[in-house]
Amino acid sequence: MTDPTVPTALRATGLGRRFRSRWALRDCAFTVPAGKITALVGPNGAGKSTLFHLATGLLHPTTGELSVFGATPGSDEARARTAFLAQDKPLYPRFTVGDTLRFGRELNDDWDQAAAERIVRAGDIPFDTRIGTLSQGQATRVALAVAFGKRPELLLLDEPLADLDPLVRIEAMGLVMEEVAERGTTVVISSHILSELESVCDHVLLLKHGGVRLDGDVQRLCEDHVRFTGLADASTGDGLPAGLDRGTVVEATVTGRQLTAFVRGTAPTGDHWITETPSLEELLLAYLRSDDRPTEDTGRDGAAA
Amino acid sequence: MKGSLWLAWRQQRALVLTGAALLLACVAWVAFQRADMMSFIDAHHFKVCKGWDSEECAGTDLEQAQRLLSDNDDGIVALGTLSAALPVIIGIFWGAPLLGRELESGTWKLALTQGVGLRRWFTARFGLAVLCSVLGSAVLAALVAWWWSPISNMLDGLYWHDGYIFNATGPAAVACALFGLTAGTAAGLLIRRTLPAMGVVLGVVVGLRFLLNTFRSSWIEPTARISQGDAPRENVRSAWSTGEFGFIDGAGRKRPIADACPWGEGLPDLKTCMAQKGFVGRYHKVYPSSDFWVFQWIETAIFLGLAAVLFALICVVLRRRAVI
Repeated sequence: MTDPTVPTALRATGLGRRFRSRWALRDCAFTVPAGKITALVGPNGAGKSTLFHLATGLLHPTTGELSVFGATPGSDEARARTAFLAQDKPLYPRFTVGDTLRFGRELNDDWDQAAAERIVRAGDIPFDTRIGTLSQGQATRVALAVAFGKRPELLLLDEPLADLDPLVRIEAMGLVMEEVAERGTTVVISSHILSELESVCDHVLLLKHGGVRLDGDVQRLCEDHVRFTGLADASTGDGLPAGLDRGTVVEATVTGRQLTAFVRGTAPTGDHWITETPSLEELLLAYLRSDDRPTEDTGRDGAAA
Repeated sequence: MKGSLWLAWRQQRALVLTGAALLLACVAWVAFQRADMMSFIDAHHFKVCKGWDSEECAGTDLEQAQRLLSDNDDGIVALGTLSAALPVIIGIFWGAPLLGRELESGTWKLALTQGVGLRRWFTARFGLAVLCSVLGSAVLAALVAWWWSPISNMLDGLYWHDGYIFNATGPAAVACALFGLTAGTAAGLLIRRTLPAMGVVLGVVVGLRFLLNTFRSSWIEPTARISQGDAPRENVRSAWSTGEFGFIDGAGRKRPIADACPWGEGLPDLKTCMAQKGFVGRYHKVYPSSDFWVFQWIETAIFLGLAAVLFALICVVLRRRAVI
């Protein structure tokens, strides 16, 4: 599923992280292509935040390994190339905006003060304002300014749009896209708002119950799947046509006598089926809704760390 | 200031500046009070004496002594209380938030994903806190000693073994401040919340101080001051009496029976009584004032040892990224 000619930003092999007796991530293997925007999708507790913490070295894996451009997460080399915006967008509330940018300058060798200032100015935020008095949207902008001032090659955004009102959401996303397009930054962005990801991301990584459920290029994934609807087959228990390989079915629902199914591969033959290539949002929803689980069932996960 | 040191300074400067201002105020106040005290001593050609009562302090003007003590003891007690409480204050307001607030607010994720690594980040902030704690507690401990020493161990004044003095001065006071800081830092790291960590460090430092004050006299053997026959006992002077008086029998054994030969109407005098009971001398167990340093070094070692253990624990927990 991964194009070997594209350089890799993140590579995981056998990656697992356990919190006491609960596995937040288990036996994950995937690659994140460099220079692309990857959507990290999954229900709450699927291990998205854990993955970000492992990729930044804030956590160590329990099993397996993860590399950032070939380096160990948290090493000097990996830290210099990675910027991370955590879900709660932490900033020092007593610092002024100016102090916050100085923080970035003092703690990073390769710091782009002009870029950071430009992002702050574009939001009309005075530099002497204390962080604690900023609105959510302004704080997100300052946090993004710190992230971009670092000139990262890999930008990790954990739910950057949560808690933002729709206008600010569009503004923040626009800001990210603008900066990323200019520099060819690799981005991994997690979000619940699937429709907002569809228009921006090239690659998708879907986590569920601590495992990788779907991983690949967006366009290819959509083309590899088909959604078909039609009259449910009364002769089979599940309503699916008898000749269909059940292993390819991602999700199937029967409403009244109507069957809607997502399959990987080709649709069953017959002109009584309406077939369509699913959108990314439809496809992700189908995978999120489907009950089947990756290799080992670890029980229902609680909230992610 | 550059890099992680700038961050440490920016985050702790309010504490550093507030602490420095309070310390300067203390220095000014003590300098003024002590100058007053010294001019009184000089002007009245006051003879300073070490001892409990007028018998031990013959030649000292008791009225002047009382005036000196009443003028200065309250101030020294207040300063001593502040100095003795400093480790707790440092632990609560400096140690507990040092990592606790970072973990609580999530800003550790911001700090540790920049170009500066965990080691430098922690070294800078902990180092600055250590430097300030040591300097602050040393200045305060020195102020207590400076003000108290001219009128130390005199009559019913303040003695070296009083909590206001012993816990407030000497190397143990500095070591205790270091312990308070480390305990607060460790509590903040392990509990990940500032407020509960503050509560824990308050309990731990006060509890340890209480234990040390309770068991201080058990660590070393007191000195037995022996007086032969019915010769008068040596004056207590600046020593710390254990309250153990007794007699020495013919075999040289110490018999801790203080009232074997009571005074009283119709009772035989001391010499007769001792002869009747076969005692050849009397003794009194005390800790001479030179033991101040023995006790101080013992407690310094305890505080520093515990601080080192906690520091190692902090390093292990940080290194293993057992946080979150």
